[in-house]
Amino acid sequence: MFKYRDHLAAAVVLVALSSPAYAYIDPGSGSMILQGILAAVAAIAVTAKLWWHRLLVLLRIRKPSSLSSSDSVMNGDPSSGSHDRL
Amino acid sequence: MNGRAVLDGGAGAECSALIAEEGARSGGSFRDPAGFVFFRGEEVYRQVNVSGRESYDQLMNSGLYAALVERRMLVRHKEVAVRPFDACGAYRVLQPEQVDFVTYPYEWCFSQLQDAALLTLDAQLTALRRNMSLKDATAYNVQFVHGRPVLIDTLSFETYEEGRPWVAYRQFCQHFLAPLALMARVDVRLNHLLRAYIDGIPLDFASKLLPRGTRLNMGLLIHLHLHARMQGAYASTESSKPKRAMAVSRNGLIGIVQGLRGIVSKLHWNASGTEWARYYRSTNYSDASFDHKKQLVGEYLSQAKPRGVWDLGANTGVFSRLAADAGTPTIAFDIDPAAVEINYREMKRKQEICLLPLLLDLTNPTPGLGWGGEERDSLLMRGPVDCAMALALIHHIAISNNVPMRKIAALLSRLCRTLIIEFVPKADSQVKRLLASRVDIFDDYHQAGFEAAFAESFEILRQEAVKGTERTLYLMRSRSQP
Repeated sequence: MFKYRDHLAAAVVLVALSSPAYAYIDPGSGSMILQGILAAVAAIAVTAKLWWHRLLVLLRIRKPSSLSSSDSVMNGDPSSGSHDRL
Repeated sequence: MNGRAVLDGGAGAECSALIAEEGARSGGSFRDPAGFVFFRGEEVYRQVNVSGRESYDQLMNSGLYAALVERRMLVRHKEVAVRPFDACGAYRVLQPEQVDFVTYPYEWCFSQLQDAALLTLDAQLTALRRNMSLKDATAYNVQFVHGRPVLIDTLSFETYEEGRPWVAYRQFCQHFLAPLALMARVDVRLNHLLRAYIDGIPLDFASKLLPRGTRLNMGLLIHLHLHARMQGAYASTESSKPKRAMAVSRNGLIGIVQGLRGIVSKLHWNASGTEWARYYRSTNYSDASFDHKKQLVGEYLSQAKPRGVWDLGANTGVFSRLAADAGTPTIAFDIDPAAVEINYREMKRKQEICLLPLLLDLTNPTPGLGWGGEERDSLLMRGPVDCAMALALIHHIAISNNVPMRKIAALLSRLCRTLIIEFVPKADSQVKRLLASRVDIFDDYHQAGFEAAFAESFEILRQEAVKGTERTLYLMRSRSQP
């Protein structure tokens, strides 16, 4: 489970780091922090899903498929709704 | 790009001399330093300032503009070589395709607000794939054009930086998610809160109004209830201005936006049970009378040849469609949210492009709102229209609302040039029903009184009795409109 800790650590680092954004509206501190938490949870969910899939492949319960990279999240149609949602 | 206007940004002392100040700046376009809308003659322009240059160029060069325009999600524009309104800091002048009639979220039915919300989220997802992001997400950036919601603010897109949260997330929740949840889960009339709060419904207020059961809905729990708590927690502390904002990975951000999309699309309001949605089924009209009325309205419209029609009290739009089906841009106003909802869904189903259903209480029409009362136009400021229709309406205003007929005539004459109006006398069963529970104080409410009251503001061009009824249909011309 070493890899899992890596991903979790990466998520925590992402939550903690970023430069303040230029915006002409006030994004709201609470709103920014909530998004950070939600995004971290989403990242963990995506990671967990990938590993679950790998485990099933390893146990030969499922065949290898397109769900092998988190990049797939980026390539979807905006309205397809096939990805993890928060 | 044809006629591209390359402008000197202008600097320092020269700026003041360069100010053209010709035309008029839109009253609702001043918050974003990247640019603004101005009017000159009959035309509408958008000035892009130097501070919005990078984002605008990226929008045009990244393929995002083309992708959005192709899918009819963003208003099309052309770059034009006209003088900027304010030469100081000007980069480009754009001429967007004009919107026939500007509408506001407090005039939309549930599904219109929902469609506008989904458009905003889809635009954000499309933008993220091209390294851009919506920097604002107000409902006022959406207008209905040819039956579809369209983003009208070309300058809403900015460069996306990996790790940045969505700056417009809170605004989206205030302008869309909160009112939609309140309309779906409490009462559809809570859309009126958008009229009170110009930057959307405060989330703590929405959270307080929503029933406890909505906390069991994960989406509403997070984006409204928890969101409101987080705002409260960070509003009054030193941490309200964090030196480092929270980082949000790109995939995390896409997950949030797609999540919002799922929550918004699952909200539902069942348009039923209101007084008016079943009106046509309970009227005293026979089929023959109804057909005759339709025929007369059609004839009057042919005679008036209007360029635009406002059907006041349109219900689900049966008579509005006489104008819209003939290709006349028609707005079907009604006070009843269910009637407007049913009308809008039918409009979508039939893909009608000339009809726009909208909510309106004619006894309390949309006022001017926002800064100086000038940010959002009143209904009257958006008129007059070529032709107004007031069918089976006058008894509701004169009797149910005690408005004297002279005042009704005076208002209508400010709204339109020609008027198709139906007089419904006391002998009509609908009027009898209105008078059943109250004292009849309406001595002047008869056909001669109606004609006398309207003669001050209108010239009567034509009048016909509707067969099989006590009613009369008039075609009039306003004396005060050119």
